[in-house]
Amino acid sequence: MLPADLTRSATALAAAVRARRVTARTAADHYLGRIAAHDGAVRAFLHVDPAVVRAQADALDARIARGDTAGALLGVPVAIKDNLCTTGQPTTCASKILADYRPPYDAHVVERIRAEGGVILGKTNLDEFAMGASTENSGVAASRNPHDLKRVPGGSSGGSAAAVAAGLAPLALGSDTGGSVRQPAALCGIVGHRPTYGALSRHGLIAFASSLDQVGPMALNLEDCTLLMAVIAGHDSRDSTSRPGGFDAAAARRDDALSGLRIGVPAEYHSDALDPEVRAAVRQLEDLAVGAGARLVPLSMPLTPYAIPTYYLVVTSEASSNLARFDGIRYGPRDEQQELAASYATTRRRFGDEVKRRIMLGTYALSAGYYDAYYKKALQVRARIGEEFARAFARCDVLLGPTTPTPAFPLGEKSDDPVQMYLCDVFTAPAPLAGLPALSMPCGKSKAGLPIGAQLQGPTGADARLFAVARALERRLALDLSPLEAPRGA
Amino acid sequence: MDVREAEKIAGLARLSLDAAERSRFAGQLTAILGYFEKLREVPTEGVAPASHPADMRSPLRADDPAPFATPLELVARSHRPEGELYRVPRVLE
Repeated sequence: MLPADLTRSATALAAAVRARRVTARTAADHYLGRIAAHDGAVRAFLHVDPAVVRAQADALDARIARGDTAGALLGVPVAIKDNLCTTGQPTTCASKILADYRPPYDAHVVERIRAEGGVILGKTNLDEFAMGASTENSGVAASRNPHDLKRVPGGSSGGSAAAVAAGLAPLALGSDTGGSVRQPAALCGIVGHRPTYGALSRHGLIAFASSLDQVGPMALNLEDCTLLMAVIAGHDSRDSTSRPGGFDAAAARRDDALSGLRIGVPAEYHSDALDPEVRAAVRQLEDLAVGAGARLVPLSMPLTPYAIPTYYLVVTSEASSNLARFDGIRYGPRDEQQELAASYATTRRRFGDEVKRRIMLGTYALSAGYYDAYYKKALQVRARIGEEFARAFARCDVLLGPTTPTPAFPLGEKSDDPVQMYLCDVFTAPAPLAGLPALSMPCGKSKAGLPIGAQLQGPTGADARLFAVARALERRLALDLSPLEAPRGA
Repeated sequence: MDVREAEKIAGLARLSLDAAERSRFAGQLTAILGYFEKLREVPTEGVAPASHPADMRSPLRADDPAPFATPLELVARSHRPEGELYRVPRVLE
């Protein structure tokens, strides 16, 4: 077992391993033990191979014994969403169409974690191909929210968020196409960041919607999230959309970020549909910021409610193209038929309902006769949403609002109504359409004990600014950010 | 979207649906497309479509070939590899 202070901070854990206070093996065994004890209830992980985890830790301990203690994540286990390629462990996107697939290479972000001494702990559950907001679309099983096991952890990176919140992993990677890092982070009470488009390499992230997909770090607190972001950010020539330059970790740790800060507060983020407890928690955060020298700038962003239909048209169109590659020829199992076309169609029966729905929607939106009315129209509204953000950031430095309209909802509540599920993304879908960075941080709990998340959004490239502002708010909020001792509500 | 149209779209997308799926998806996709109609409220006359985030510029590098290190390992993971090739069902009669 690890001492409690090391389970609350991945940063402290890496320092303790470096100082030889604990071994990497002790850390690995601690989290493997937590997974064995609690993941039967939480179902955060799809694949954990204890022998593979211990082998990584033992190799690190051998290196440390030789005096080599390099690595920002030395001995820290990291959970990886199962749409990121990992050697030695399966990568399935929680889909039967990639059952047992084992990629021959690591995603760029996984390479970076290994290079800095991190231990790849296992692969976490997601909505199949990251299509969903609850993990109920997983082709394996739904994950549970460790704060209330009858509720969803959010999605699509719900397994990663639940793992960190339940103390099954100190750090995790998710991916965010329309909110899939931030929404589960909010519902599970942890920090999750969606980087500026191109700040992280997508090499080895299985493509869903290429103009929107981004990998994102998830952690218990801002310092740990900064640590992970600094490791995984940076240019990679294998992703043609990768931006030059890295992440300015020193700027992310500035402690005077609130002084003189202009915080935009769009009226549309506080519509009548917003849960009153979520509203109250976000308002309290605004007050804290003002108390520390920030200024609120009331704004109107009237295109906010149009982001969801725009997003879903773009995302389904891109998905229908990206997922054409899953036909049983190059990856995964094939249901062989005499004819090639029949072989494709039979193999693709392995997709779950939401994936099929999205492929059909995208195919429809791109088909002759509908292209202008749907896809082209969505791209035009996308351009206008980008302009609306640009106008807002001419008047403020960051935007502050809720990450989600409500705290975590009960399992099954929205699973039969796709439109209701899509509406979960109302506050998270706009930023990806414009390629902007956005971060979700815990800002309180409901009376029922469910976490509430606040979202900070910034202009292109302002990732470090968002971290610094969130860090200052986190310090003033002084919430208990420890992982749960055990999942609740069994 | 009616059941016939759902079947046509599924065919274009190389999906094979049974009768119950065709009927279920036709209903659900009609509801979703109905919701998408909301976009008609936004004026977009003369707006250039944005297929990528606003300030996307692809960085360029020297045109030096950088072959993937282990192509045969990729092929080996397919359902029916044969050396460096994939064996597939007959395409033409």
